[in-house]
Amino acid sequence: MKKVVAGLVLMAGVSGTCLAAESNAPAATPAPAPKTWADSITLKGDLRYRYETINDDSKKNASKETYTRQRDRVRARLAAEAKVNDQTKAVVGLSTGGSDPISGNQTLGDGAAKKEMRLDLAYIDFKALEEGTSELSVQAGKIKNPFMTMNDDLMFDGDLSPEGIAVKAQTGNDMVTVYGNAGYIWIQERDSKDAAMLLAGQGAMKFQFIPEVSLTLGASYYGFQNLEGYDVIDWEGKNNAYGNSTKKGTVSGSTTNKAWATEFTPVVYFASLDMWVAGVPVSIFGQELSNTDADTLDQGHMYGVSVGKAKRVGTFEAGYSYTELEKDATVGMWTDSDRWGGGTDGKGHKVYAKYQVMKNLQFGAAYFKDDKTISKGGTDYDRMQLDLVAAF
Amino acid sequence: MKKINKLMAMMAVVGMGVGAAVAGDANSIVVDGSTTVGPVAKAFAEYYMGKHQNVNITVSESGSGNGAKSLINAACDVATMSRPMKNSEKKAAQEAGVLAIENVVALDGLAVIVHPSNSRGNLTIEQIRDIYTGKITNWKELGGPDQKIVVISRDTNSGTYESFNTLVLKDAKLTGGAEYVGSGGAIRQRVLSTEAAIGYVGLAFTEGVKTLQVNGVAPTPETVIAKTYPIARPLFMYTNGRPKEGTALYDFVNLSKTAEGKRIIEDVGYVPVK
Repeated sequence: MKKVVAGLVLMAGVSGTCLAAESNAPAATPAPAPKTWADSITLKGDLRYRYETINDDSKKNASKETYTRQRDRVRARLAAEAKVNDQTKAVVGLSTGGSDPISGNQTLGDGAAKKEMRLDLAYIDFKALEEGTSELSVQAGKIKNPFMTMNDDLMFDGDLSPEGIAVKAQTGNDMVTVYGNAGYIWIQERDSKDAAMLLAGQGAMKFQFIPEVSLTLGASYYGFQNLEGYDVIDWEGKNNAYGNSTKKGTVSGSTTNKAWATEFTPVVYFASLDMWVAGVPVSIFGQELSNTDADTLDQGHMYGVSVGKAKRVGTFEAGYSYTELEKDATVGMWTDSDRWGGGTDGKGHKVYAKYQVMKNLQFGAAYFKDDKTISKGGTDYDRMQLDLVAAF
Repeated sequence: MKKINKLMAMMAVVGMGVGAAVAGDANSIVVDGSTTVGPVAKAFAEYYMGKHQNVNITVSESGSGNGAKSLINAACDVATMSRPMKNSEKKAAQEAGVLAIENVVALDGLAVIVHPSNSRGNLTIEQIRDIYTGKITNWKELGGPDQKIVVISRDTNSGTYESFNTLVLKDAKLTGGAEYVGSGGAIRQRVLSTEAAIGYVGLAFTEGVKTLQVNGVAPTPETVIAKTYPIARPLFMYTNGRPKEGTALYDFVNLSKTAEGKRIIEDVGYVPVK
């Protein structure tokens, strides 16, 4: 993260430097230089180069050979954060990618065609309260996921930027912190029918026993509105329900669209035990999900552990998680896009490792050993990713 | 599959080439942060280096906020802060794999200071707030001479500013006419050279200027300890994790608990923790 150069000039003026600065301070300080628009803007971004290979048994060819794909991909993101006033920020971010809401990857090798870059973030962040350990903020626009997540998440892919309004609050003391988050999220605006919405609430408590050990317990309610009976939302245009059960939807020419067969109101319980062991952060976490609107195939489970944090040069991070999402546990179009190729109706293992090679430069590797379409017995799905990430 | 094996082998080579985590130099301590806590850190450094010739301690004063950033970015071993870490800083530390351990090293009263010629002896917190928010702009409104008040404040990255904001301003907006300076020493000198000025500093920066009572209580070590002075605060040194016993870092951070450390704190002008 870098301040724009003009901002640094002002900072240098107000920040002392070292040892003797105090006693040699000037008798009278001139009025600060006038601020420019650049002083209030912070730019940040990252660039990821990824090699991945996928083996998918659900797509065997005529010779009964497993479908294999190897590809190199890039994802670039750039965001500007402007301080509007002491309580308000405005954030505008761009990302590579097309209409896929859960991936900014662009595959290399299509004749060196220019890649698309789209609006990924566009929101106002208003901090209504910041006093001691208490905070209350409101974000409105195309926002970052406002809900507490873990290294893995049953509900949402990490690249999803929901659209609407979120309220985030926390209060507490050195021992206990209470969190409350709520979201009023648009899914699909419809001219003459009820819009598809997500109304969600989340509450959690974090118990900080000692600085090295904390336990977080929480629950989330995600109330998806007006999905059942409506055509599935498929960014690929392939009538894809991303694992969810479907029934007949609208007819368009010779195509009969698929419609969601159920509504979704998943309730997620989550817990995370975070510790420092021999100077290394260790996290053990889990989520249990149940879609209270579906009659069957409505459960989700996720358990995992992570060790270390790859941020400083020479530090590492590694982890494992097991995830299972039944067919109608939650809305498939927003779940993690990597495990079993995305969506629901899958289960499997993930192992990953990251290493901070240099300042702001990270190497990562992940391997997924999954079964997809488990409602029909399941087929093997393996995926390996190697990442080089430059953050700035 | 061959391609995958090759890549895995490459990964292993890269990992070995880069080597293990960079460890901090056991005989070097880098301190950064608050200009208020700076005098304590400098005095501790001088004392400790005098006793241990092989240990090098550098102390920078870039403000509490920058001290927190330095600790999170592994640019320092000790972050000196005149306010506790904010939620956002704790979160950033956690995300960076930094376990921020808080050590209270001293207590301080925020002294409200004026020029020695100023006849005023006491202000209430409400009056101070009114001066700093621009509701009171002339000393005559407080029974003094017809002089426009010159309002001096610490820069907003300062922990002293944050403490003043919490204890006095209550998040009210500072008057647009306020002058911002980068250290307690600079405030003291500005007030010393300006008859109509008012400022706020830590107890270590009151030499030569007049300190006002706040709500009828003078800022002294006794009133800070007794918690009767209304705008008092703890001063901190944050480390990444708990320093190992027997290391220079452990000794440095825990110097405030020794008799010699308490004497140094008193000499600097602050109040040792009992």
